[in-house]
Amino acid sequence: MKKKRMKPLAFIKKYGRIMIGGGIILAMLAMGIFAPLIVGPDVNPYESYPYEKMKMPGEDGYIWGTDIWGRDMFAQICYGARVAIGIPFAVQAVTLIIGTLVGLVCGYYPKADMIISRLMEALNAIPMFVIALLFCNIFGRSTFNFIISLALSRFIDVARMIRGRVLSIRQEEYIECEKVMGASDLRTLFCHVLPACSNTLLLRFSTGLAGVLLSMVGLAFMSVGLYSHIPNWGLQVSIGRSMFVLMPHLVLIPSLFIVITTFGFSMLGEGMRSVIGSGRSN
Amino acid sequence: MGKFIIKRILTAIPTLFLALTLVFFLMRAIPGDPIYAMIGPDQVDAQTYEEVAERYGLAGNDFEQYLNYLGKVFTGDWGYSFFMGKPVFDCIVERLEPTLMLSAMSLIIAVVLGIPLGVIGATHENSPLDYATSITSIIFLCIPNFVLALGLIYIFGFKLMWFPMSHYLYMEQYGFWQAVYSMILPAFAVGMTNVANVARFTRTSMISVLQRDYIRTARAKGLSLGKVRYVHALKNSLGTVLTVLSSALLGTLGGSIIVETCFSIHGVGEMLNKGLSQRDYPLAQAALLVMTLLFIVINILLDIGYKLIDPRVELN
Repeated sequence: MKKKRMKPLAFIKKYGRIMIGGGIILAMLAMGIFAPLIVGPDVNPYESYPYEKMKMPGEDGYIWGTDIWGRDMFAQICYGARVAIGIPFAVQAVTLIIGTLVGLVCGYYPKADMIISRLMEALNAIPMFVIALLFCNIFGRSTFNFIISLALSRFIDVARMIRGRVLSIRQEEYIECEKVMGASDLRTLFCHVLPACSNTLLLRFSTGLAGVLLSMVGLAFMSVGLYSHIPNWGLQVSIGRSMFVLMPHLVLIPSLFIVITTFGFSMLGEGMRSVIGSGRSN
Repeated sequence: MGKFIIKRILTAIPTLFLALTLVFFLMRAIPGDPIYAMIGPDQVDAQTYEEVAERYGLAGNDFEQYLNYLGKVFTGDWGYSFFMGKPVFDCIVERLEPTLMLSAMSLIIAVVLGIPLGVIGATHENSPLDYATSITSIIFLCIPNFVLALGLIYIFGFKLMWFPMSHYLYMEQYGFWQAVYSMILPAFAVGMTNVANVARFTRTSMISVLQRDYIRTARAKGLSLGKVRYVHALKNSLGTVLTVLSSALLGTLGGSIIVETCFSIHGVGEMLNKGLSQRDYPLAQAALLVMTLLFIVINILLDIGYKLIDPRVELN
């Protein structure tokens, strides 16, 4: 049978957001990947320039001028896209892995559930940003540790959701059958329960990206987590803050990129929601 | 109702206790020795080290310290700050006012702006007005709070000079309205994300309520459109909004760390950040404890509100 073609308006309504979001993210990604070609390999790292050597936008070939340490703003924006796109994806992947494992264990083993659920409840009473801040302080500075800290601050929601799904799936007859046929717990969990959650997980992955980016730049703004020599928009805002009343562009330019990228991520998430359908997941 | 409230409070106690324990041990997991941080590693001999440890409750292993801490925490003895030079409890009391003001005002902003925006979106579904409110809330959800804070400082503090650019004016010294006035920009910086969230949730929940049968029945029986919308439908969609407020409060407390730093407000959030970066365990612990306590108390109030709106709700 021939597949029915969608009307343009309906098509836009369904896929428009995903295309806008995806487009923005791809553009940023390209900017990050091709940064060496656009601005050259040198980001002139950390030289303690006196303030007089700071360049205003347009001066000496610096399109957006330099920051207060004499580093090219445009180059930092381009290189900063790497972190801004890469970290949210990495964090979401780790979050889902931790969350799924904890959720599966909680849903399937009531005894473990007693303890872990109480712990998660307690963690849930602490703001996410504070947990991330705590873990960043515990693990110290490095990209890997930063990713783990962020993931640890946000896995609880995923774990709870998976736990709920597992609890309801366990009642289904086909799981019962599986048990009667002698399948091990692991097999049931990974071959039957997990695939049933995959839609929800995919949705979770894409809707969470924007939030990760926001907490990432927040932490960077507090100069916690990432190394300060890695170009990073949040850090740029934080550096520019000391001069921003006189030179608002120091804050405005990186902020604009943060907002646009977050918008891209959230459009992507919304788009995924309308494509996958939010019928049974919240 | 009384039974509900007591039950709710009792269930909150283990959570608080566990959060306290978690925070205590997580703090101890932060690398670095606070005693060295305090007096410098070069000039310390074993005897001074021990004396200092004794004085600040850092003697013994982590578990002994924990028992020691537990014994004192309920009596209001929260330890002695390493760097502030006074009992932590006094620091907290000083810093509680700005944070309470900030949280209260940002929640009020979220409710007062968010609910009407959501209602407009729901009652004018798929009209240009609906799209406009939706897009506005999406954009506000995408602005990090420090960017919003700096933007507000620049526009309303520096250019227009409508509001003070930083610092909190204490109620005792300047009176209530001055205090509120000095907190308007920070409250908007923290609260706008919540406005967007509340608006979105109100909209979805109200749209689903408006499609229910009893709404149609009420209309068919001749009740005016306004009364059906703003009395019957709104009341039944508020339950969801209350649950959003609880997560909005968490966001507010987390965001207050950044915003208090931007506006140089000496509140609990700023204190937490200071305590963490200086390895000042008692200070950071106390700040977190206060935040958790605040969250739990307000959550209890929200649950009671939820019960008032929808009496069918039961605790499980």
